[in-house]
Parts: sequence; C-alpha cells; structure tokens
Amino acid sequence: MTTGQHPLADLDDLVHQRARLGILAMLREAAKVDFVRLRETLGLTDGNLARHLQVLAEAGYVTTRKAQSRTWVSLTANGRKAFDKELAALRALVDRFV
Amino acid sequence: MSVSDLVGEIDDVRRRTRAATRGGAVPLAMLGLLVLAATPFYAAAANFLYVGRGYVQVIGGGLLTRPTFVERLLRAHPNAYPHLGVGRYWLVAMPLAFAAVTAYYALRARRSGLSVNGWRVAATGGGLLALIVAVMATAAVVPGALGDYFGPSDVLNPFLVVVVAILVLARVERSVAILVAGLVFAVAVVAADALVYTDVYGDAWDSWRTWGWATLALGVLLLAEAGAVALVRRPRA
Repeated sequence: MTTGQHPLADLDDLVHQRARLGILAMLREAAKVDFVRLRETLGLTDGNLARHLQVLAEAGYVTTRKAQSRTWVSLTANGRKAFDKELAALRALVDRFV
Repeated sequence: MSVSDLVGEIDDVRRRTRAATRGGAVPLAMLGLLVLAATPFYAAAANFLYVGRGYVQVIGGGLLTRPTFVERLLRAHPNAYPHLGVGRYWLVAMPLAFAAVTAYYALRARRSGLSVNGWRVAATGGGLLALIVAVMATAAVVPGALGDYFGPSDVLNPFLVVVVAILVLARVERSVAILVAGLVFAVAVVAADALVYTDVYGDAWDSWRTWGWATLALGVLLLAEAGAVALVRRPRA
C-alpha cells in the first residue's frame, strides 16, 4: 500500500482484472513471454488474450513484438510498477482481513 | 474468488513461470568446459617458461624482454609463450563459448516460449574480452620493463572474464545459487593467481607444473558447481 488510505483505494481497475494480473505475473518473471505460452498457461482464448494485451499495451504496461512467426510480449517499467503496486495493495487487503 | 485466493493464484503463476525459466546450470557447465579445456595449454606453457622479474625466459630459447603486440595479445594469464597456444585458445574458444551460451538461450526461448535475456552473458563477457585485448594492444612496453607486464593489469585476464560472465548469468537467471557459485569461483581464481600462476619466484619449477593442475582444478570446480546448481531443488513446475 502506498498511502494511508484504505487498501481498496490503491487498487488499479485496469490491472485488477484477473486475466491481466495473470499476464503481468508471468511477464514479471521473464524478460519476454510468447503469446502461445501466455494463452496456454492462463487458459485464455486467442481473442480474449489479444483483447487484454491491447488494453495493457494502450496503458503502456506491455509491449509486443513479432519475430519469426511468434509474438513476444514484455513488461514495461510502468507495467512493472503497476503490477507491484497492485500486488502490494492486494496483500495489504489480505493482511487487514486476516 | 477471495482476495487471498487471488493473491495465492498470482504467486502460483509467478512461481511456475520462474521454475520454467530456470536453466542456468547448462551455461555454467559450458563455461566450466571452457576453463577445463584450457588445461593442456597451460600445462604445456608451464613447461617452457621461466618467469623472472623483468623478463620471461623460454626454456631452450632466449629472453623475452620486449614482447611484441602478438605476444602480449596471446599472453593471456599466466604469461605464455605465443607458440604454446594459450592466448590463441582463449581468443578462439571464449567467443565460441559465448556464442554457444547465446544459442542455448535462443533455443530454450523458442522451445519454452519464455525468454530471460541470456544474450547479456555473451555481451558482457565478449565486451570484457575485447577490453582486455585492447589493453594488451595499447599497453606501452619498453625493453626490460616486463615488471609492468606482471603488474596490476594482470587482473585483466581470461579467468576474470569467466567470473564476470557467471555473475551476469546469476543476474539474468535471478539465481542465488549461481551467484554463490560465481563468488566461490572468483575466490578460487584469486587464490590460484596468487599461489600458483604468479608464484614463479624461488621454487619455480613446482609452480610451472602446477599451472596445468590449477587450471584443471578451476575447470572441475566450475563443472561441480554447475552440477550443484542443477541439483538445487526447483520449485514445482
């Protein structure tokens, strides 16, 4: 949590969506993740994953690059900050109610 | 889904992804083989050199008091007569080893769909090797000044490149085990440097012969460390 407010105030609606959190969590652990790997690990459809990536890309949280018939997705510095902040807020919520 | 379930799910995704990206033992073993394969070159070099203050005497040959650029370039460390191939070995084998590490990471990324920027190992190691070559190429050497030749700049040697490459590997893999392996190897290199490679005064003959053994020991140490890193219990994938 980054403020003295209730942890809910620190949640980011854009990041908070479950599939997007999964995408950001995978990207936090690797420099680049292939589109297919993301889809299979998170159990999403092509269209669903593409839509989530578009939202995250428009927010400046991820970048995509096509290379050798693959689409590689990577996290930006802003995306890393947003994910870390979201996770901290979620953990603060858990701590508050445990 | 509760918030704690969501956090648990995120942690699980991160843990599984991290487990799937791990593979630092293979490049560590590649670097171990690189060092191990240098053994015969060092063993051969040690049998043909007498290193004194300010000069190098080739057994059965003359004194080297004014090494040429090629001799400096091929010197590597410990100092070696160019015809014995130590320098040539490093200049050829080290870029090949870094190319192999980069190829390994590229192949792994294609197979797993996960990439960890393994090219940084080769970029850093190759850059440092190029720096060493540049320093050797531009170092001013005057007749009889071989004392400088064995001075602090000897820190710049191929074993240092291997140490730095391992530390970058630890960073790339985010692996504490590889970091520890790199630090242990660094200590071993410094010890070998002080006790074996540069300790050629006095009871020099023994030191010459230990050059090969020291290099062998360093290579075996790295391979053992690679084995230990591979055995470190990986998180459940």
